[in-house]
Amino acid sequence: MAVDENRLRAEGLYECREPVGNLTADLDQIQSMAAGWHHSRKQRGIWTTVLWIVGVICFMTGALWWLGIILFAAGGWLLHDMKSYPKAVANHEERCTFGRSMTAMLAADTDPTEPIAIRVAFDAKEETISEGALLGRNNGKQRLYKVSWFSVQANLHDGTTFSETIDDLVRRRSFTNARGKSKVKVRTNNVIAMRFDYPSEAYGDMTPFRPKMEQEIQLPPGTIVRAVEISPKAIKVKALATQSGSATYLAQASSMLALGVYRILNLSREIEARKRAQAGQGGRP
Amino acid sequence: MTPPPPPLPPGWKCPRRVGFLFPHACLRTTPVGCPDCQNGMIEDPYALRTDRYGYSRYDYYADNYFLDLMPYYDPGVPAAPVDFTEADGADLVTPGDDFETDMSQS
Repeated sequence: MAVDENRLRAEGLYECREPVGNLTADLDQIQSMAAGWHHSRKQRGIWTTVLWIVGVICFMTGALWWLGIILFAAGGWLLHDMKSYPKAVANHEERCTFGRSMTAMLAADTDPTEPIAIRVAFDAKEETISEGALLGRNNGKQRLYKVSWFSVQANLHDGTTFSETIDDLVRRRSFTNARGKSKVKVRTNNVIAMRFDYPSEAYGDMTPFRPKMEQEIQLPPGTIVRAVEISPKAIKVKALATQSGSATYLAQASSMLALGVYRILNLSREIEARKRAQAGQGGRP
Repeated sequence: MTPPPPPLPPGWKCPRRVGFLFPHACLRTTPVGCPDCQNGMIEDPYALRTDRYGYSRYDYYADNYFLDLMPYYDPGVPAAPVDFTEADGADLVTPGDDFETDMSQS
C-alpha cells in the first residue's frame, strides 16, 4: 500500500493495517522521505542565514541597499518554503527505524499474509500528567507529560495477540538561575508497554509464573521492568528506558522484553505438554 | 560448481523449527533460499538463532525450572509435540483493557 503522503504532511501520522512486508516497505519509504525533508529543511536554513548575512552587509555598504532588500526577501521566501517539509516527520526519522525493527521481529512469528496494525505518530500531541511549581528555584515550573508515538498489534502463529505501545515520558523544568538567565531542562524516558493475550489451551494458566518471569526478563543497561501483571488470559509488562537513547537501543529493549516473556511462555507450554504426556502414560496429572 | 539439490517429493513439508519468540513449523515449500535454515544447512534454526541479545541458550531449561513449577515432574517422560502451525487460529483471544495507556503504574 502506498503511504498517504498528504496525511503524513498534515497530521504527521502513519497508521496502517497491512501484512508485515507491506509495512516494512512503507516505513522504508517514509524514512527516505523524512531524510529528504530533513536535508531540504537544513539546506533552506543555511541559505536563509547566508542571504540575510549578505543582506545586512549590503545595507551597511549603503550603495547596495536595494540588493539587501532583495536578499532579505529571498531569505524570507526560503524560510517560508521550509514549512512545506514537515518538521516533525523530518526530525523523527528514527521512529521509522524503530518501526522496522519491530516488524522484523514480528515477521519471524506471524503469517506473512496476516495484517498487522501499526501507528507511528511523528507529531503526537502532548498529554499533560502533572504541572506545578518547582520548589527551590526562582520562577521554577515543572511539567510532566507523555507523548504516545508508537503502537502495534499483531496475531502471532501460536494464537497470541501481541500489542505494544511506546510513550515518551517527558519532564520539563524551567527556572531562572542565580545570574538571571532563564533555563529549561528536559528529561525524556521511554515507557515500553506490552500485552500478550495468550491462548490458555496451549499455555495453561500463566498466573503462577509471575516470579519466574520477573527473574527471567533481561534488559539492556538503563532499562528496568516496572510492572508485570499476569491473568489467566493475558500478560502485561511495562519497562522504563531511563537512558532515552537511539531507535536501535529502544528496539533492543523491546525485543529483549518480548523474549523474556516468551521464554516463560515457552516453558509453560512445555510443562503443559509434559503434563499431557504424563497423563497419557497413566501417571499423576 | 555445486550440484543442484535433489528434487523434493510432492507435498514435502519442512521438518525444521523456526521462529524468534517461540518455535513453530516452517511453512516454506523448499529449503532453497531459506534465510532460516540457509538452504537446509542448519538443522534447528530456532535453537541456533544468534540474534537474541543476552538470551543465550534460549531454548534450554534446567531441571529446576520444571521442578519448581511442576510438582510431579519426571525428566524421563518426553513432552508431547508442541510446535504450532498456521492452523492455530489467531482468533482465540480478544484484546481487552487499557493497561498500556494507564500511566498510574509507570
